Amino acid sequence: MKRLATIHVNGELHEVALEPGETLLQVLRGQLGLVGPKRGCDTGGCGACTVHVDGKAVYSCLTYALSVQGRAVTTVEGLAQNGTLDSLQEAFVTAGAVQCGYCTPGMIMSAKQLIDEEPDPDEERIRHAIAGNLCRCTGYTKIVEAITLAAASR
Amino acid sequence: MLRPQEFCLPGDGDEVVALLARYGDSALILAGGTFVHGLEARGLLSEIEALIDLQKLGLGTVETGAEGLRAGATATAAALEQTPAVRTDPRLGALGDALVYLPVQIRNAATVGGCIAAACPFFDLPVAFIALDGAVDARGPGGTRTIALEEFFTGMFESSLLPGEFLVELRLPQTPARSASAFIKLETNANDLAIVNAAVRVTLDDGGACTDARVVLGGVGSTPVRSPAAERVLQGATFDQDVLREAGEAVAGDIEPLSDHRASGAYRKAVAQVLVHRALERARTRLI
Repeated sequence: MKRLATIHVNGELHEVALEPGETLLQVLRGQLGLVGPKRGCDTGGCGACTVHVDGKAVYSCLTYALSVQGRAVTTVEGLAQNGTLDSLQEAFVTAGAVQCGYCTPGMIMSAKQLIDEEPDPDEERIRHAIAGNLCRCTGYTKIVEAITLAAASR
Repeated sequence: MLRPQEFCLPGDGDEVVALLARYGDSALILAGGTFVHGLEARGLLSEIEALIDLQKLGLGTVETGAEGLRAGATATAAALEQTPAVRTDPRLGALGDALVYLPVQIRNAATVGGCIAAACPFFDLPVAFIALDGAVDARGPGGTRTIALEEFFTGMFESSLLPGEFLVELRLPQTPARSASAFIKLETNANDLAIVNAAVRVTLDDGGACTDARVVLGGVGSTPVRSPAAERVLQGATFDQDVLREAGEAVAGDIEPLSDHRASGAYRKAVAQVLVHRALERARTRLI
């Protein structure tokens, strides 16, 4: 049976009706229209669904929507402020780090936790930080360049 | 996807005990939730009606002190990783090593209790916990009891937890000063369960002879497996290349690895010997 819950996404509170087994990814995409997080493998293996919960990157396909009540969810749509892209988003554009684009929102959310926590990550740290995100275009070189650029611009 | 009828957020342990009594086998304790799909894909959750999320129980902390390390059942892998002693103390080296393999999304969500209770023989952290003589506290209708992790795992996805019991805490006792541990894993990609993994712990006396050793392997049976033969080679020995290699080779007699779509049993046996040798070398460098 569905129950009403309030979830906090990108700075706004949303009242939603949730099935007990519904994942955060299903709710973000299906009810809130936030389609930045992608449904790739749906088993926590590809990283395309990555969002932040309380500032930490998680797989939204493995997160039960009812478990994030009282916590702050951020999707890639929540990064731009007043129409200005986040430095990571800018860097992905500048470096040309997007091919098909499917992995990009997840890559950005994983990278965001890294550069929020480490001011000057080296290439090894950057590659480690996106180890849970697959790019099936295999465009990792430009992605690493973009994250390096974003870290340097902070 | 799992289709439970209820999602419960109990506020304390008594409520969890009551919920487990009410739902019995149709309840699943939820901590990080990162392996629910894995259990479901193996057909283990077809009866589940209620999810019981432990996040409000206040079991998320990690503490270290003279007696060792204590981690609540819902402490995340990230919380372990951020514990200073896990990063710096050679005795906890196996833990630090094992945590490196987890992608950040799993580190932030996966929990100490979840990775133990799932009883998956291809997980990393439980193998490291056993090498460090870990024990867990399980709470149930009759109170709380302590179970040594070495006795916790009874089969593939099976544990000695009784109906109505759930994990509340992991404890890793302090090991003697001149000890070090290490962990190594073989995986197919950065987000994979272990094909084989190995954790070792060694303690040396003042003269450099080994007074105590643990050699534990994952991925080579239906539970994590200790290798008494390898431990015997190490016991009393002074570490040189030959002894460490010999200890690695000795594990072959203690394991009968399974074949599956990821690796043959023979391959796993060959890899297990190499990983134990390398883990011992890594532990030795931490003792110098």
